[in-house]
Amino acid sequence: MYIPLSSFAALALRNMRDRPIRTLLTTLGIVLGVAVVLAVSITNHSTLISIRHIFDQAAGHADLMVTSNGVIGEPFADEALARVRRLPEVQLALPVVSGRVLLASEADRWGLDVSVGGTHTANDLLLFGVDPARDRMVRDYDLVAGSFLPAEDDAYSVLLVRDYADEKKLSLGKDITILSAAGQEKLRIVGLIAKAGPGLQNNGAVAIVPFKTAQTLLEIDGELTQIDILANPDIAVSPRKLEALRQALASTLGRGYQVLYPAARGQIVARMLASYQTGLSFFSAVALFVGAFLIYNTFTMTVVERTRAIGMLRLLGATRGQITMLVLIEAAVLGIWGSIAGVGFGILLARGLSHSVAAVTVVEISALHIPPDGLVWSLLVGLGVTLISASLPAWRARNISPLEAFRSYARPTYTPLTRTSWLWGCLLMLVAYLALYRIPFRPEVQVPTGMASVFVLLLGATLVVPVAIGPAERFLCPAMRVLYGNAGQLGVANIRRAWTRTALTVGTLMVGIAMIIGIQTMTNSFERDITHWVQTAIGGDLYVRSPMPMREEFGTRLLSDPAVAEISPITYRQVRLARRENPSNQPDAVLFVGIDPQTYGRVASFVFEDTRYDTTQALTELAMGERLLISATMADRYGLKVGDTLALETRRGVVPFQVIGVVVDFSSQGYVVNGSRADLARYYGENTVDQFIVNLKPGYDPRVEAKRLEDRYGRSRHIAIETAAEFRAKVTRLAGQAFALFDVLGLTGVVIAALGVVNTLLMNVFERQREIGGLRSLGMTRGQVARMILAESGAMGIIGGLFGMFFGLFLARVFLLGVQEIGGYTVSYHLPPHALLIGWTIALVVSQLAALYPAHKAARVRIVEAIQHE
Amino acid sequence: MVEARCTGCYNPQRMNILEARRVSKIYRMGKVTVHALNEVDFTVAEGEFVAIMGPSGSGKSTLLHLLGGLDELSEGEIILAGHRLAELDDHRITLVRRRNVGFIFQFFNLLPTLTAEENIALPLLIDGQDPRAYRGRIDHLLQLVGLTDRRHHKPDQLSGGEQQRVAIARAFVTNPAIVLADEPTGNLDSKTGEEILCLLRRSCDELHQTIVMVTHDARAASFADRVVFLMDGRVVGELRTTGNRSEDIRAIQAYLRDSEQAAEAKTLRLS
Ligand SMILES: Nc1ncnc2c1ncn2[C@@H]1O[C@H](COP(=O)(O)OP(=O)(O)O)[C@@H](O)[C@H]1O
Ligand SMILES: [Mg+2]
Repeated sequence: MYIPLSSFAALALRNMRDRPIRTLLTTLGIVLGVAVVLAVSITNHSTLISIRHIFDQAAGHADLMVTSNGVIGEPFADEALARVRRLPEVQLALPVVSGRVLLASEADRWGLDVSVGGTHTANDLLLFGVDPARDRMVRDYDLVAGSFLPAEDDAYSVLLVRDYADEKKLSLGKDITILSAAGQEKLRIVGLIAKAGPGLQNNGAVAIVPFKTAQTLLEIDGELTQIDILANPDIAVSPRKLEALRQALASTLGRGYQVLYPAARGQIVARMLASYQTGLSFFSAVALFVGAFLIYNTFTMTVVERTRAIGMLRLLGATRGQITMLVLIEAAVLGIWGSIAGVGFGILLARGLSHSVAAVTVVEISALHIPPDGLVWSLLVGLGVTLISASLPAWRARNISPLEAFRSYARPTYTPLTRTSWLWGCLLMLVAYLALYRIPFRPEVQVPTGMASVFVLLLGATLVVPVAIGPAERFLCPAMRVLYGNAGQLGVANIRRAWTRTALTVGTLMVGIAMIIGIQTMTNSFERDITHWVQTAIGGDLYVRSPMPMREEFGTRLLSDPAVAEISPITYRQVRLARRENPSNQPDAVLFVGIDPQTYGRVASFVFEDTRYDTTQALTELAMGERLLISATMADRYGLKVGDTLALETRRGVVPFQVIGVVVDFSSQGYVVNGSRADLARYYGENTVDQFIVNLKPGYDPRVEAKRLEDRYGRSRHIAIETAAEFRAKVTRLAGQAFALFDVLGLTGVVIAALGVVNTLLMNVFERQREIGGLRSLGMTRGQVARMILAESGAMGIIGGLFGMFFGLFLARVFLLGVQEIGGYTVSYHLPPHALLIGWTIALVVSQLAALYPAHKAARVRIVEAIQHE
Repeated sequence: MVEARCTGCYNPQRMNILEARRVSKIYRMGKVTVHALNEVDFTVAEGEFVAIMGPSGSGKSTLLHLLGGLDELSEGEIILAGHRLAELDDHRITLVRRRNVGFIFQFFNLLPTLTAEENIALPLLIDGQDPRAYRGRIDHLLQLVGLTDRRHHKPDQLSGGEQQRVAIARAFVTNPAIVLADEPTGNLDSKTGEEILCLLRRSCDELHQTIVMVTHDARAASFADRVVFLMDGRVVGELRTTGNRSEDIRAIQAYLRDSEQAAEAKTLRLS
């Protein structure tokens, strides 16, 4: 590319063109940083849009919908329908009855809903009961085979989504057997619909039936879960009139109901994912930070390298402003190109990322939605970060004295890192440390403070790196001689020469490695906590469950089995918080886990946030009734502590429950309270059992016994038995999936750091062409030259890895703070030794891979040319 | 002091382009202070070619830097093309330098990424001009330094002498009031060095270019109209050349020998 030199600014472009590799590597750093940020933003946005889309589609053309106040899906009396229809503005009001059932063939795969940062496992079937005669006036059913539901309200006919039917090997005209509260029932498949409109719900696992049938199957005769409303046309087109109608409906129906716009339901679900998305954004920001660091390093090195040339320009009359502009123009061009390419790459990356997110969050992302403001933002962020990162080097450049031009050789006297800068580094790290550990910040600002601390910490760490280089060189010399021969020794000695550059490169590497280790440590601590929770809180050897309510007597039968030692029943129920308990934005429905205080202690225990409490004491208190153990998430989100009361809506009105402890609980997004089954029976009339936790006598293999018990009772009682080991594996796998994305982001950081290493080494090689030529003329072989460069890089890798290990631990701390903010529970910090090893190994491998090309370049330096070089 | 011998080129009636009055430069390094220059008076008239001579460490480069406004004075006053440098801030000095001073270095200091022609045009570029508007001048300069056929070469494709000729053309391109050269032949063999000096001499004669050149080489100094001798940061003497080169060289060498002996005698007396 020929750049005509028609203006001073064109000099900047020349510089870039004449160092194509460096320009490329730096641009790649920007590209990756921007791509990651954009990809995460696109993925998050698309997930939200998909959720909204699903709910919009399911709602059809409905203008408004009525649901029970509180738990969405909780049934209410159908007389509300008549009241709604009485309003003249309502053109059409349609009943909907929906609930969760299971295919009988899938009963064994039924399991407890476990969530990790907004994820859940589900293989249930959504029973969606509609008015067969009129529902098509609101919803579009895209019938692809068979016919629509017959007109009778109570026909045992069902429409399935074709994809779902294909997957489950069900076909038109056949019967399906479903399990529900009412037991086992057969339904005839009369039609198949496309996965669109109402068929989008529950990712296609939806069975559309006449609403009377749904009422029977769900045992809620005379009750509805939702009413969809079409307003008169003149009202529907006017938002103001529609809002008036919504308010009129709300006041007609009164307390206990809520009248929503269809989109609002999607928003409630979307809120559940918010925390996970915050997490992704957080890590993408860190990746961008590593990118910024790379840019800063590259520009600093560039300025150092050009000290003499810049001095000369000053001598020839370039003003300080012009020098600043020169550096900034270069940055701006890189920033713009990098950001544009980053946007393209980000869109590609978003495809991959959205697949993973879809797998974790069980929301199918129908299409990538690129938020237009997100695009603009990415461009601005990319350009901004580049300019900001380059501004410090630009500032240094503008202060270069014209006298530098008189120096005989490129021998920069100024260094951005001076011999005393480690003092500043220590100071910065101290500040970061205090901010992280010693100063209690309010929870809302903890994450931003944590982020800022990380930035300060890493900057401080980079300033400290130089003091380590001298000792490290002495220490590494013998090792490198063993590995790379005498050339290796020379290579290690080189790290002290361009020590500013070395320090900055080691710094970049350090940040990348620290990120990997930080993420690993966080993931590990989190997984350990989950495993610990699974083991202690859920306990037992086997879990006996059924989609149909079980009786307590069945427990007695199980206990009489020769293999069974202990048994404890559990009952789950969604309960609603009393109005006043609920701060805005928080779900007002939580899962009430009813345990049996007499037997629970023998099979499982609680994991208390505060270790002073113990399970025995808690069980004694729970047995007294109207007492709860709340999850840490609940404590955080609703601002509750031990001794407070939590008022629940019960069948007997609002009842205050006393909070007697805070426990770690990962089920149901953490919106969980533990109480006694007796309370569930007294206040909610709930007597059935959802799960038995079984302890086996010593010597019995859980896998064998699970199979045997399932064979014995499975068919007659529709029970499914899962071993604790299987369940734990499932939870761990789920957590692994959720965290895999974070690892991807961490790796991006390392790749960017690797680019930094390549950059530095190339610069070193370029600068030392003469010297390398000299060494070659003295009889050094190409192989020896290459080994020298590899050794130099290896030394940087080792130091970077060591520093990275150290600061990774700090970083992990910040990440855990983030998790705490996201999940609401305190994750106990646990350092996994293998993470350190992995991080360090990555540093070494990266240092060697990154050195390959520079080593190749160095080996090819031509002796004659090198000696002639100026 | 050696008696001045007037040559045809120098006309004392012409105005001074550069005046340094009682200029001192003190470097402080911790407790040690170095008087690099001590109350130096130095004047250059328009169209004059002056050489500054002195042993290593005598303050030649320091003086040149001060004259070019590259460093701050400790004491005294410098008037460059009518500007009192001490009164100007860095930005103003930069602009004065840009328009009035050309520099030539021992190490040619060309930008490796630019061609010969582009390197020559660089000062125009820095001044915000479009070099295409100065085609004629650049062509002329290329011709002057004899590099018309090398105009598209990069510095690493040029010999040392050729690089220095590019640097000279670059110093001349803005028509500066004065060109400051610090040992321009210090890094060249004697034949190439001679060519460079001839070039400087010719530009003085034909273009009436004012030149101040620092050198420690009597041969190089003999090309100038006037030689100023520095020693330990003081001006210790001055000599006008005759135009007869070998005679001038002999005179300069004799002067240097004398002053060396004088300095030795002085140290002997002190000890
Ligand atoms: N930046 C500086 N700091 C301290 N002393 C300096 C500096 N530059 C020059 N000097 C000292 O000033 C004296 C004159 O130096 P210089 O002008 O470079 O001499 P010359 O060019 O004649 O060899 C020397 O003693 C030198 O050590
Ligand atoms: Mg000197």
